[in-house]
Amino acid sequence: MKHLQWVTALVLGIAVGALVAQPPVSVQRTIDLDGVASLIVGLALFLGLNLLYQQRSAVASGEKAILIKLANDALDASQGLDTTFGRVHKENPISQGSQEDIYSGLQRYNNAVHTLERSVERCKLAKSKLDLAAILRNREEYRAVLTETPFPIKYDPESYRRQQGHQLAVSEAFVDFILALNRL
Amino acid sequence: MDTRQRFPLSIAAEFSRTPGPRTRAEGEHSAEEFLETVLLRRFNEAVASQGVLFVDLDGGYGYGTSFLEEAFGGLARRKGVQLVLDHVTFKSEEEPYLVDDVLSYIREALTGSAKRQR
Repeated sequence: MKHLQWVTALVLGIAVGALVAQPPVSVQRTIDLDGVASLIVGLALFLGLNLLYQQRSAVASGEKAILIKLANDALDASQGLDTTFGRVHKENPISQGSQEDIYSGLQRYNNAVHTLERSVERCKLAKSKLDLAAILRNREEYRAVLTETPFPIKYDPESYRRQQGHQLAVSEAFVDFILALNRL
Repeated sequence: MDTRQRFPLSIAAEFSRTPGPRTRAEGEHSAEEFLETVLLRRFNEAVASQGVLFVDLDGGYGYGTSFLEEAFGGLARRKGVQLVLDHVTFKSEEEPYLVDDVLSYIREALTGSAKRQR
């Protein structure tokens, strides 16, 4: 089964040759060495270029998969932060443990965005088509929403609505990024 | 390579591992307290010696935006943006992006986000 495609190609070639070699077409009985050489060189070139294309395509698709995974990790980290904020935002004063949960959630989210940014810089995909600006802007703004004064003492009553707005913006920016990546 | 004398300052070791809110009125370990009791003095020492204040941001539980903005943006508002940029450098291995954030608070101390957040 492994060589089925080659056997099929050979059988088809013989059949086409037999069909073409009907009168008035005549088949040359001698071997044209120039033609054979051109055929072999052409074939070698085709196979070489095809191999190169396949390798590059495999690298690009691997890089895409890695970037999509990193973007999903960052999105998950932002959702973890959303859950933590939902749990602690009514505390007044915010307990030491809850402050640490917010800080460590922020660190996890910021690290995930940082890793994604570095990975985009290093991969060979068309960086100009991948816009990280919205994700980076949201990273800084989200940090400000979650840690702006009066944090770490408490959160303002309207902070929940602001946080939800930013969580939405963060999610949308990641979805846009993943879709753009998928189109490359 | 910068050959000027380095004046190390670890916020966690010399001020608090749990930095607080923006102002003294809002709570303990505030940025205002850090600026007035530690940062200004250490910055003046570094400038007087033509050295660099090397601020280590690692070792604490984390920083609020308001703390960093008030401390370093506040330093830039008092001493001038360029002088601060010339005499302060930052290190954070735990949160490397913090360095960029702090530098942006310093650059925007007299405009932009600093005004928005105050």
